[in-house]
Amino acid sequence: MEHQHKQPAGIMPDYYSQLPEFLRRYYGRWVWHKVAGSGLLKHIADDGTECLSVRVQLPPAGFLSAKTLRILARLTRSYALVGRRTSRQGFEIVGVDPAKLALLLEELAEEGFTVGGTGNSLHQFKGCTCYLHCQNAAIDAPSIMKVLADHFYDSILQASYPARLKISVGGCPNQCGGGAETDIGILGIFQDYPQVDDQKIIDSGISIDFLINWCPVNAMKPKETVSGLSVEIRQDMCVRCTSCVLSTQEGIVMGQARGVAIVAGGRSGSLKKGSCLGRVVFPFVPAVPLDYGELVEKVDVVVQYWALCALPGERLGEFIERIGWENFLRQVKSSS
Amino acid sequence: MGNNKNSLDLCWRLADGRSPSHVKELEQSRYPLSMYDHGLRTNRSAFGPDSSSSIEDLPGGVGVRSSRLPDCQLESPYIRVLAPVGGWLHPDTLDALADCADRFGEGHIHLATGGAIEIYLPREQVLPAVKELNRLGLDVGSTGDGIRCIVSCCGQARCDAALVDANAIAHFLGERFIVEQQYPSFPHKVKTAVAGCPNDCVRAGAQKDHSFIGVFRGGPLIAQDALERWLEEGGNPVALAQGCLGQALTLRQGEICFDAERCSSCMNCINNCPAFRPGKERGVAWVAGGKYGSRGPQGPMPGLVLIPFIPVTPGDYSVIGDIYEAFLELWDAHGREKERIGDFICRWGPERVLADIGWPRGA
Repeated sequence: MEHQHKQPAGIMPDYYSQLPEFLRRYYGRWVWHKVAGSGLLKHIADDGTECLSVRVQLPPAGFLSAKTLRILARLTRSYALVGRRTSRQGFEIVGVDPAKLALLLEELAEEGFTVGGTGNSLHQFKGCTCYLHCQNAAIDAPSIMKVLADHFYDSILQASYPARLKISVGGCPNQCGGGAETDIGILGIFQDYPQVDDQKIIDSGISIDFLINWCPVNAMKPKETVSGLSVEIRQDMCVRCTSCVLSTQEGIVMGQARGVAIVAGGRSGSLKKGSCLGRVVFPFVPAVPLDYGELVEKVDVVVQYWALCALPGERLGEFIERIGWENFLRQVKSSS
Repeated sequence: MGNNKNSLDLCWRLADGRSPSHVKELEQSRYPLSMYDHGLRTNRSAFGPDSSSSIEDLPGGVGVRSSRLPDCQLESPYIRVLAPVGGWLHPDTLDALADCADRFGEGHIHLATGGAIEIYLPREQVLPAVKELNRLGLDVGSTGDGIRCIVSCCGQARCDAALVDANAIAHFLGERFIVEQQYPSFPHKVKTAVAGCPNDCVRAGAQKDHSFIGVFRGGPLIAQDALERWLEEGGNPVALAQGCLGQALTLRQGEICFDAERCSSCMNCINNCPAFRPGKERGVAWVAGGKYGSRGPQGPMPGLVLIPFIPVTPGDYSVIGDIYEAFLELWDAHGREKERIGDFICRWGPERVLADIGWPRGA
């Protein structure tokens, strides 16, 4: 395929050149790993050689200043071999020299980093940008993650839970930040129905056929107006997925009544009983920035109940399935 | 503009506390915190939809967020940098990203949940920034209705569970389909991950549209001497047996028994006990259709396992690439505008999808 543009240049960045000689030598030779302390992972190769990694918690939504990036680069270079972003927007310093581990942890603490989120602890929060850069957000995921991380801070440092706990916050029904995929999901939702500005729809020239077809529940029908064809949304059918809002620039907008739904029990991979998406526990909780008292309290109730009653190693979803959803919902709703 | 401390009350409340703060990070950059503070105060983002006036000469990898507060920031262009698979970032790459963010942008980066790395920068800096990234062996892509940044878990570079070389497979796909990552032209976005094993740390099954997950057949290898050592050191055989998804592991008079017929290759015994290692017959499963979002007729759905086992020879991933490409062609030809892969597969029918892409081969 020929393109007239010189940019982008067609470069798939090379992962192999990122890897240090040590990881190249032991590629495919790892046979076991264990959590060697809070935020410390130890991978063991077939000849007994060990690879030590330190897990650093990053700020909500993966925002890092150039200054912080350079600090991470310097610490990785001085005390370890390579850095790695995790799939949950966290960071690992991999191949730490065991003799320099104490120094590295000391420097990380001095620079204000939090080391933790391994084993049976609260892992890195994951979420989207919301009011930091996104137009679709119903709520602000980054500030919710920050407030929750402060509230549960000790649980990031200590492996005091029955199993690992992951919390994701997605700002709108798009769920770029996730939520339904993990133990506890906090999902931004709209309460109003989308409002159509006929003139803006007509002026935008958007295909009315496309709009009608993209609505997943057929809630949209054409509407004749004096200035041309627009659309009408049937409120009894609309599920407030905001597909139409996303595709019409500002021609269809959502109102200011917003909040979050709290879902629980999601997990991915074949671990234990296989992957499933979380289910709704609290269908609506207010989330006006930064008034998150009720939200924090409800998440806390879920976490505390699980932490108290789950069997060792039992993830939140497995616990709920064992005791039954009805029982679980009754317990958490009576205590919140 | 400027980040006047007194007028950003809500913002600054997020700079305190023990956990890492995004506001602290952005305060060290030229990000306009007053945009964020306005969003927090009004409970509505100050950023608007991507404006239609894109960057000339750059077909993908860039977007321009419009502003609902033009007095504060007129617009917010951003580029998406394709990340090396596995999340691997050499310290020099971290420094290079910091330099690019400083030199061309607002002085910060965003590690997006999808795997790409975003840099926010003024419109006139976009092309110079991409040129510099190219010089450093990096490039942009992963926007619009194209293949999004292809990701993998850390794979065999560090993980004992990885069954296949997830890094190499993801990189192979990334190179073969680089055009589709940079020139969006499909019915909708395509998110792809390669997971080294069914533990699926990268959410290839749940979140991604078009993915491969390392699998093995024929049951785990069990080292009896290592098992005895593990039991002597306090390993819990009851928990080990209970963790087995297919109930292939049972305890009979204190002896651990394994029934190969019932093994579902779920990895639990391998995760829980060092005496269990994955069997040597390795391959990948093709899993497609996963998505979290509420859009489309199916709403959020985990991916469907369409081909449970594709044998993989290390170093030769052409079959995986062919399946990947054949499905994209089918969906491109028959998918409706803005129809995600999961919705398409459910409308078209999984069996028809397999027949149409010619699987099994030669059938």
